[in-house]
Amino acid sequence: MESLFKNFSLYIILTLLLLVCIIVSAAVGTASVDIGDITDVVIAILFPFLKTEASEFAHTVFVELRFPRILMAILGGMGFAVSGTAMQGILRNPLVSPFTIGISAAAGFGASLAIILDVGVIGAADWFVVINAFFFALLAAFLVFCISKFKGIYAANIILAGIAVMYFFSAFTSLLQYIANDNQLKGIVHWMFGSLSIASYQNVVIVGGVLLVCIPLIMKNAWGLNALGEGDETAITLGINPGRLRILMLTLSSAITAIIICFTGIIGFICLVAPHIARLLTGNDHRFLIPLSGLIGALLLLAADTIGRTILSPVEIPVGIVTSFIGVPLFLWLVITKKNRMN
Amino acid sequence: MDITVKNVCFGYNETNVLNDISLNIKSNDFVSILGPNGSGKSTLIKCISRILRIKQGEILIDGRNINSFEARELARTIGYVPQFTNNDNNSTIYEILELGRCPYVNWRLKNHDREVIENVIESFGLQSFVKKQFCQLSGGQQQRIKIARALVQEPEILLLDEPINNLDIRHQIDVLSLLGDIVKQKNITAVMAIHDLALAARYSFSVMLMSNGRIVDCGDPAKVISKDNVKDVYGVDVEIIKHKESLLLAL
Repeated sequence: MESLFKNFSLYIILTLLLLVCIIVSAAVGTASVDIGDITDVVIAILFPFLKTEASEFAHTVFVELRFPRILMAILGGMGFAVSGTAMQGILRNPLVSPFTIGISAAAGFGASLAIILDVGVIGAADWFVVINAFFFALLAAFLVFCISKFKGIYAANIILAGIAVMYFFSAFTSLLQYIANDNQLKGIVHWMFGSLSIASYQNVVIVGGVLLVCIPLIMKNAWGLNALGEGDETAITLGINPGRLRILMLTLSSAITAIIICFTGIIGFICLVAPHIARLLTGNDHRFLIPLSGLIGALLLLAADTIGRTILSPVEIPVGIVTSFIGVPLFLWLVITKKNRMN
Repeated sequence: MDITVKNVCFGYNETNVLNDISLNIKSNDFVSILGPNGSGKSTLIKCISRILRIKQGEILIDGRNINSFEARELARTIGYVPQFTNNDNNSTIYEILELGRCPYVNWRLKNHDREVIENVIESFGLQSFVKKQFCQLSGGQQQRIKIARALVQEPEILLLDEPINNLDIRHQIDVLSLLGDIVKQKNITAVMAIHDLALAARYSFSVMLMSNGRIVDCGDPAKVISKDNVKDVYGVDVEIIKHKESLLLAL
């Protein structure tokens, strides 16, 4: 009961922090639209009968630019964090994430390939990049699965297979960069940085839909993830099938990661750091860890994106760079101060 | 519950570790499986707990084939205490004990589940430990937690893989007498793989002696642990000295 209260208060605090972050993020930016204008817009949308005067410009900035971006940051951060938690759970290793098993490298390769092949249909080119990135991300997960299946679905095999797949796709991406012309190279590098600048409601709905299916399925296996923490043998005698659980979690977290990075490019560290922070705060029970980690991920990515688009305004720093700048020191601090609760 | 093993063979590669093993363990018995390294003790325990799936023969619990059990159903019947666990495990003792309810719950622990956990905490005297982390405990305490976790599963059979490895004599005795008490009080059947002949003879109700994947002898400790058997199985010459309820092996 005590732990339930503790977790409940953690959720409340983090949700409030997230709300504050949303408000700040909506109110700051290169366009001079401040909190007052945004409030007017929101009131005008929510309560049209009040006939509040909101400027057309503020309306466009909020509805078309800032709000979809905020939503994408929240969903993306949440998805990264949850898939990182699930991966760390099934592989019993706090250093892995969907990125370390090659999913991002493969998505990068897919995007690069699309940029270089450039289908040339106006408007469709963007989608070609997205679909290609998504396809190769899933292909990477499938390769990892097949290679480790060959040797047995154990944590070490999955990690080793993942590292091999990661280097494989990285090498291909390097090759593509080497043969690309200046324009293509610029496109590839830009994609690799990871950015939320192309967020649209359409993308938000797609990502949101995938999360809505995958996150509850991951949550449903929280006890299984807890049991795996005691080792495969104990997990089996607790009624869990470790191999089957690993395949399921690998599939779900790959799907989540793939659908997010195909729209945003590579945004690192959220899926590594968010589960760590969550574990420090709540412990190892995945029933509480997964939602908490999701909240922290949302908060981190939204904060990072807000910083990225305002700190050097009007120049925008891609959020992938910001998360690494914030993530690396945070991660090192967590590792060095390594309190009891850290793995 | 009684355990029947019929003509079981098992091998990790081509060579068989268990060679046509048949045995019967009666309900409410406390059995030690003895034998040299590599004789198949742990493998036998893992086959009975279904961690390893046997390819030949059958294992029955109260006459029912273990392959007909659903995973969670089997987890409510058999509790398993592994030889090795992750020593860096930073889960709290309470979190680990909660895991024992895994085969019973879908999401939330109900009042009954909490009661079971509280009872085990009380009977093991773990009240002051529950918030500590597993990695902060000593080897002997960790061993007790592992046994406690298995008992939270409310099993009718308890399987233990070398539960007193790496423990000092004091903790070895603690763990074994604890197991003896559990078997008597909770009416369960316990089977453990163990190396120490004298302690096995002193604490378990019966013993089985294994060599090269076969059962060499089984029954009363005083009968099985004999000069001849020890010579045959271990290739060591010993004198067996009886002292009250204990056996002493003199070299």
